[in-house]
Amino acid sequence: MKKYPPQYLFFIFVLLINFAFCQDNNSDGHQLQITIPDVALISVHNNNSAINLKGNEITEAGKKLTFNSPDNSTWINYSSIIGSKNESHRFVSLEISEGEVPDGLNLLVTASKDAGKGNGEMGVPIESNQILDEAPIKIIKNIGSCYTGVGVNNGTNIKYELVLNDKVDSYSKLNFNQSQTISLTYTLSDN
Amino acid sequence: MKILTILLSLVVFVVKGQSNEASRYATFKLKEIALLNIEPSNTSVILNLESPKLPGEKMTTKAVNNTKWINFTSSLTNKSSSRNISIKIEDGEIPPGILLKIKTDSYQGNGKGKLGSNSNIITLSKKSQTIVSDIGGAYTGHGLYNGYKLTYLLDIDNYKLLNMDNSETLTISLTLTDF
Repeated sequence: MKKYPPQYLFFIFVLLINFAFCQDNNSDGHQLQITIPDVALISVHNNNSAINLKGNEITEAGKKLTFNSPDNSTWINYSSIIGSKNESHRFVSLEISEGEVPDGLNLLVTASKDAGKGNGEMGVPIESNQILDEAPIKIIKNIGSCYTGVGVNNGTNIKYELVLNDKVDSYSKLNFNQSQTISLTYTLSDN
Repeated sequence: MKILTILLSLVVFVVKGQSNEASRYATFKLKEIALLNIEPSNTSVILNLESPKLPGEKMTTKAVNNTKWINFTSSLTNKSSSRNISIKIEDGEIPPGILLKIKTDSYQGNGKGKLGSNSNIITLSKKSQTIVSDIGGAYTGHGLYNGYKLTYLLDIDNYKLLNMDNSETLTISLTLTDF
């Protein structure tokens, strides 16, 4: 085998070092991470501590009991970031979590369109009267990634209305001892 | 002993080489140089969208680590008049609904030469865009606080397209090019 003089070996060594340094060239890069979290937050706003729905005083004998006009002082706000894989849409449901609606009466709920103070996919409110019950009912469907803004006059306005129910004997069931305080719970959940 | 032999041989080699060149040529060549690197290297820029504190609030952006420095050394031949630094997304996709922007500050540091001028805030894409132009023969100095400071920013462009399954890692590349 032919032996190379050390000069050549060194020359090759210098070349290799040169190649190593050449990696520091006219371009460079780095990584950049962007993360998006899961968000599902909801709150209820009302300037009054409680909503008071009551029968109007009857001033003339023989007149029917009516109830004070619907209350629409309640607003719900929410922030949502959905995921295309498992949580493609969310909905807001409402249920009576404590107490009972007095006999002969129905408590109705209507959700109105979003006030337009936020941004994103706010969902579709169910604008017809629905009867509240202990079982949750959907009041806003198809919520995507969005935020409504914070406080009253932001998000969705909720209307509550107390009416006599459709049953024939509803009026006869009215009973002044049955004045009730009931709790309502709103939930923002995944489809 | 071996090392000594190699070193001795090197001296002979170099002396021999130099004497040959000196006797034959009287020219002295300056190489064209275009070197660029990002400091700190090997760290990721991390930009997070953060959950709001109150229901109804918008998401906020939180930068964990969003600045980098560009160091470069440039020398030109007569043929090329000036250089640019361009930036692009080399790999990965920006999550839908988000704009990734970059702010380039004006030069700082202890370098010298025709160091060029920075551009305004730009929105990054897969297409190369210039962030520093009109670089001549110059060096920025090495390491942090030398060169051009880059600041990455996130902007929400279309809220309804935001999706928690779209977190992403991108590769950003910067190149010092000829004009």
